[in-house]
Amino acid sequence: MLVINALEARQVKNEEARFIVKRWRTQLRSLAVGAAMLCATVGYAQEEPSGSFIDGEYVEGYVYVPEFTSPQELKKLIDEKSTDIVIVDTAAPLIWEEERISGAVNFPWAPTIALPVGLPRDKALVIYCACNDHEDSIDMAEKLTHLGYLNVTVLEGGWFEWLDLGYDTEGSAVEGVPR
Amino acid sequence: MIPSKTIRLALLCSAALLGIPALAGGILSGLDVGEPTPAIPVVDVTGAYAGKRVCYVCEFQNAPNVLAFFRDADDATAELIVRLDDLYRRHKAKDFKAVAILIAGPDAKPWLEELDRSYGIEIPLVVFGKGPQDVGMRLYKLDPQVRNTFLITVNRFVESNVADIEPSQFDEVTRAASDMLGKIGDR
Repeated sequence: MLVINALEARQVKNEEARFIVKRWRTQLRSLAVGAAMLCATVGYAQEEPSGSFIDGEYVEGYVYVPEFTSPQELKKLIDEKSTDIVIVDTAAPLIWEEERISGAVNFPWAPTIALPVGLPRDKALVIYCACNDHEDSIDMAEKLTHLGYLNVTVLEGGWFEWLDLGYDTEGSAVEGVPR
Repeated sequence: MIPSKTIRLALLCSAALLGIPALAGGILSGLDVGEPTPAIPVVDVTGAYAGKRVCYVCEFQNAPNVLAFFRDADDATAELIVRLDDLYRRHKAKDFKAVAILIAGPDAKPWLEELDRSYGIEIPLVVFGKGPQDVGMRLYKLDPQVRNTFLITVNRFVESNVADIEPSQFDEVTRAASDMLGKIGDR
């Protein structure tokens, strides 16, 4: 009788243990599913758009990489009196009035570009700034590209290199100064 | 001759209008709060580009910074530059930048070099290439009568403008810079 009771007791314990293990498994499975769903949601929320709007159209995977024109190339185009280019100075109007690359138009850098943009779309734009590392001209070139200007380059070395090379400038500060 | 009633009224209105900015603690010198900071070429004296024309506004780009303009190369300016340098050292880990611009122009170069040697200044000390006649004066709306102008800026916009202070009032600049850095931290 004692033996039977002992066996029954063990059987009950085994069933309890099995039930506990089963419950744990169910809970662990729910946890795993929950964690997976959470990770997926967080991943989705953190995913940044990899593209950009170019001329009103979203271009997936777009990364702006500036293209450069060397001062020598620009000088050659100016000397050839090329009508295919527009030189764009990003300086403030006061600075542009004082001195600029000969023939350059003024389109001052601003945190946001005011529309409509008064620059031609059928010409090659060569943008420059008086910056250490083309900061303002690259920023401007990128903004114009987003507005659909697809033939935009940055003048390598910018204004400072142009001056160092002794190339022609014009403006109120250089009027009457022989170069 | 007694001016007519209309002229007297016009004079009274003009006086009132001129008085408003002073009463409201208006800007004494420099760009107003909210204005963008345009590129401004200067001549570097002690910075990374010593001897060259450079644009620190462009280099700082969106980083929080102080553009400090000083009229005179004197003791008060020296003390303010040392304090500004100290402010920079305390916050440089937060990408904070600062530059001291001497309006006096290239004549102030030896004085700035001596200041740098004496105090081991870390911020770039620069000058306006054409001195008080430089286009930067008009571009940044600097009043030539005002001794100093501190523009506390971030993202190429002026956040605060502190002008014509004594060295003992430098706390105003410290407070404005701390407020700006605090706001950035909260974003």
